[in-house]
Amino acid sequence: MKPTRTLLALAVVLVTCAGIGNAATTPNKHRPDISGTWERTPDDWFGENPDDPVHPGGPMDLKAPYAAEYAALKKKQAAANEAGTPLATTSSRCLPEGMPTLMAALFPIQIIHDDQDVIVLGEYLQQVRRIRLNQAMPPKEKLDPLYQGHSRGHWEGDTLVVETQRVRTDVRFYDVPHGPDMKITERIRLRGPDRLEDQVLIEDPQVLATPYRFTFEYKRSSYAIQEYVCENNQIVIDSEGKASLSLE
Amino acid sequence: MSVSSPSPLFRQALCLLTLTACSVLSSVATAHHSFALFDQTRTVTVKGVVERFAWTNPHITLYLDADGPPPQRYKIETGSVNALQRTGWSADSIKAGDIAEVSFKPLKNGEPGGLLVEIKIGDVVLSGGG
Repeated sequence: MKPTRTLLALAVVLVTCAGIGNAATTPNKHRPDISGTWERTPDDWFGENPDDPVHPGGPMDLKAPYAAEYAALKKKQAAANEAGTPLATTSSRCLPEGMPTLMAALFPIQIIHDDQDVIVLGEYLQQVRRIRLNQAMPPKEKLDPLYQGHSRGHWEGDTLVVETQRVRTDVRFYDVPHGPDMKITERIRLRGPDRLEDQVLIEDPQVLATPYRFTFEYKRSSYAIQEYVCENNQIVIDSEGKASLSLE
Repeated sequence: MSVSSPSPLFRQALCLLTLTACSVLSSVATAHHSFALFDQTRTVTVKGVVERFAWTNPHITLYLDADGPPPQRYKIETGSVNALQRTGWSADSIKAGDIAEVSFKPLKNGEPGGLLVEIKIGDVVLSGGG
């Protein structure tokens, strides 16, 4: 092969490889890159009392009888906490947090996305949430309940708009139940190269008198998410749902 | 949402309560169960031999045989593997047979166990989290 042809072939190979590299890292140059590991900010987002976390959008406007049931639950929790036998939760049983608690990112979350899907990986309990892009939400009767629900998303300019339905009704958000028709709408966008926000709207005709709105803010993290298997749960739950620590 | 200690404010409060060094408690977060199992107003310190060290989730747990009187086995829990890895702990930070001094927030029910505040093994001091 002549030197000029060799150089030409090398140039073609280099250009091709560069193209492949770009395709792998920036699948759509028009779309913001929200991929990466994210942690909640500011650091005091959770409040001061781990047994009474701050609700992100203030108190929820609950319908009857849910408002009275929630008040009764809080009273029962306080008494159980005082006695040192807190009420068990799904977390005490190592069950997934579900939506929208996953997005609260108590542990870091990682976002991966391409043209078809946005995947959210939660470090806590190795939760996975799949958001299908540019697909219509199937009719509710065709969707089985899931911890993370069924999510469909699309890009509106720099914002990923996601609708989620059919979250299992045994999933709780700050101890508040929800009905089978709860709909979560999220608007996720970068607020800077290292800042991400998720504006969340929860509509639930059964439980909420008015829609519940809040925003989760995140900072980019260099942390590499680790394995989290709940293999050694030491919590014993009695017949009244109260938790204690096994001594074995 | 049942959570233990993700909040820096909470960690500061815990440090004030325990008056022990909590400087390495950055980004400690354990979900899973309530802190209400433990009496946060008291700190107990015991010396003994590590019988077992469980590098597990949802909580790292160590079992300590204290001489007494009376001789007693304590079960001391701390944060998750994921949270404490980020503060410098590793799977071999503590080994069975280590002679240790352990301070912890005792279980409210009076049983021999609690939530780790700090463990000293020779010159090494590890702070608990979560």
